[in-house]
Amino acid sequence: MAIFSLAFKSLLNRRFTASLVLLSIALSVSLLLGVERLRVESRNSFANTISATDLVVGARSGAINLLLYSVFRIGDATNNISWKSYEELSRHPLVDWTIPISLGDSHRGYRVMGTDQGYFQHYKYAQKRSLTFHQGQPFEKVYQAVLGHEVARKLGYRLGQDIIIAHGAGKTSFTLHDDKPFRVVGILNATGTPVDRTVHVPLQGIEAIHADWFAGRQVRGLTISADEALERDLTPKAITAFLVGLKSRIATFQVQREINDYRKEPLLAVLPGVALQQLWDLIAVAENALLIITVLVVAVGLIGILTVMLASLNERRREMAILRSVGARPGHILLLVTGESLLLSLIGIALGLLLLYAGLMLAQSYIEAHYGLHLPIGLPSFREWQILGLVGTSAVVIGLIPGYRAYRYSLADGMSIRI
Amino acid sequence: MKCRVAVLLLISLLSLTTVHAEPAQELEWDAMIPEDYRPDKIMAQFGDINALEDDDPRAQKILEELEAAWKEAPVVESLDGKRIKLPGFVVPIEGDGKKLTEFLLVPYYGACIHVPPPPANQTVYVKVPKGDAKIRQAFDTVWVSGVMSAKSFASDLATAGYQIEAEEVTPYE
Amino acid sequence: MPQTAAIEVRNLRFRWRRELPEVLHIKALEVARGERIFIRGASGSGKSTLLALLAGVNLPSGGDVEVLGETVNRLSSARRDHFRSDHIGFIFQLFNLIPYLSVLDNVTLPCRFSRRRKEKATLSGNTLHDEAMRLLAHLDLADDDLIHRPVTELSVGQQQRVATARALIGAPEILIADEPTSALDSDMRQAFLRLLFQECEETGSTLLFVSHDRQLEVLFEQHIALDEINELAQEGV
Repeated sequence: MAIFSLAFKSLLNRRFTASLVLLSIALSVSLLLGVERLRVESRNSFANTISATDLVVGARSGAINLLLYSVFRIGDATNNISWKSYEELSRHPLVDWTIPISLGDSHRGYRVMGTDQGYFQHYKYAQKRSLTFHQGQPFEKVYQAVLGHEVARKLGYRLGQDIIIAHGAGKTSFTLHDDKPFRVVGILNATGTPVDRTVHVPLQGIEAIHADWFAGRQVRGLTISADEALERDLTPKAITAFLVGLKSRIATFQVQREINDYRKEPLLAVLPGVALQQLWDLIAVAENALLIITVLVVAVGLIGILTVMLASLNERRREMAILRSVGARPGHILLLVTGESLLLSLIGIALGLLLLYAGLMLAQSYIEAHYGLHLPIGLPSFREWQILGLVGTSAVVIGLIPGYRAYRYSLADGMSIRI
Repeated sequence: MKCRVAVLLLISLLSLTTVHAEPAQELEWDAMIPEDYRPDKIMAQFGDINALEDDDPRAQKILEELEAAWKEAPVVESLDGKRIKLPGFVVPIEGDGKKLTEFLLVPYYGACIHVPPPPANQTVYVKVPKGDAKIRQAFDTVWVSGVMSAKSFASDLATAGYQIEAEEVTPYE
Repeated sequence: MPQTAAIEVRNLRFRWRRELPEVLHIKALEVARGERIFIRGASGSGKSTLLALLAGVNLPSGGDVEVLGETVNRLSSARRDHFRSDHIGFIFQLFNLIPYLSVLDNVTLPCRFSRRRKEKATLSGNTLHDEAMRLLAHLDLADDDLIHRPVTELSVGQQQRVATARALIGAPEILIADEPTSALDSDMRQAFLRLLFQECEETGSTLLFVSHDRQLEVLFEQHIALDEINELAQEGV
């Protein structure tokens, strides 16, 4: 259309101002979309971490807390579960399988988790996917370890290598269990879950390395060597938590209630789906705040367009008189000015998308490495298109303001020469 | 000639509709408890309960028997294979960040500690094959339509109880 | 068959707003086709207003304006705009050109709004581009270097000539020039006028030349003083 070609040339003439406004729109749009993508992917990532598990049981604390430390390896347990209680509950007639978990040690910043072989068989993630081995096999002996994909990759470990477990969860530790190294016998495939960042050892292994620890410290003169430890009874006395799979989904509430009412020890059993939902509800406040902020940033960008267009209107009255004289209608003038706003917005949005993808490509690997969050570089989702559509529509509405102004001017001025 | 064509058309139309079978019948949660296991029926056996003191051994016995009945919770097997429509609260089991593929449907909200959890015959295990139930959050109220399977707990536990292969999950207004 | 007059005005009255007094009252004005008429009027005498009325940009508060047989004030605003773009070319005193369009784009501007003029311009098989170049050549502006400069870098005289080419493209029947030479040097004025006459002769357009410059008046066969035909001026309003 002739008008849009005019609009484009008009903008080209005001390149400098136009590109500043363009940049502000682009940045705000990429921010909006980036935040949205982060939100969606975080949710997906959390939801995909655990699957086909009916209950998660830990010492009595809060549901979200339990979920976070046992499944996501975020935070710490406040208390442990006695082995006796665990054994008794795993014998419940409705229980199909259980996976015991013991947390508290680390290896160069990665969590070490004590568990049994059932973990590799029963643990599922991302819609019932099982763990698979990149190399090697599950542990069988006490001083063996299976590494999550990222641990192996980042630290450059191979099968057959020996690693030292440190006490506590920090990246550095002054208390190493260095007399009892563990041999890497298996490396798992990537799952996109905290499993990738975990070092898995048998429960007995955890017991062995703490065999000569009393009240939280190794006592000199009372050290027990690795071999000596093997001769002891390495049945754990306590675990941090356990996962439960039931024979019937419908029995979930009943078993949950029984565990919660268990008189011998204060325990908490949660449904992972429900606890996750509670977690999201908690985060929702922050998410909404972030959304509002990014929306406001876009609004600021659009107001920038409005300002630029309105400010230029006065000096364009001559131009409009000329256009009227060659036959342009007031409606054409409206279209011209609104068209310029629209063009600015559309190009800004397109630029914003480009910026988003560029940013994603740059930051993807860093975010994945440090936060375990995979941000896909796919085409915009339906919701993202909706957001873009909304921004575009707002741009049209914003553009109508100077457009209407110009329309009224051209009606009033006609062809009079207002220099 | 025209008449025959019309009849043929009518028959084919009818057969098309019958392929989709009967429409979903609305079901009430009470109907999912067999007659002889209704708590109120059990209560009736003991006469006027309000007349009993709290520490009366009979009161204790009633509670124990109620709890046992609660645990037993058999299913109404005549509901097996029926296409029904049931409203309830959603307890999520399986899904990704956006949609649920499996959930439990219960008749009341929340996990209150003062009340026993819903018994096995007041809990429905719903599978959404298309996985498109965009349920916003846990304890959302929905209508679930689909074919109900009602197998006794004496059979294989994995398939026991009330289960629905949902054809449609819609918000409850 | 006798052709209708180019312009015929009957009992034209105009006031800006209902509460304001009338500023124009012209009982009769007639311009024949192909005529070249000089309309003399001082600034503020209402000549721009008259032009706007003749062009159909403003509506009279009374009377009729007939252009090429069409009673312009009876048309809808859309049709009036259309009519203007089809049949009338304009040259203003200053700032005739759109700053963000090239010289050629400025010249071909009317053809974007009037299909009739576009067709007439390309009648001989020329493209619009060629036709624009042809007109510019007639106006001594065929210099390649000049054509590609931004319009803001042209001298006033050059700008006026580009405006003239724009007014002429597609051979509109009427050309209205509102003080086109006022910003030019006196020696340029006559030259400009000569070119203008030449082109109008070629296309057979009617020329309405509005100015206060009496020196140019002598070059025209017809002249009218606005003060003489405006009843209100005579009444000493």
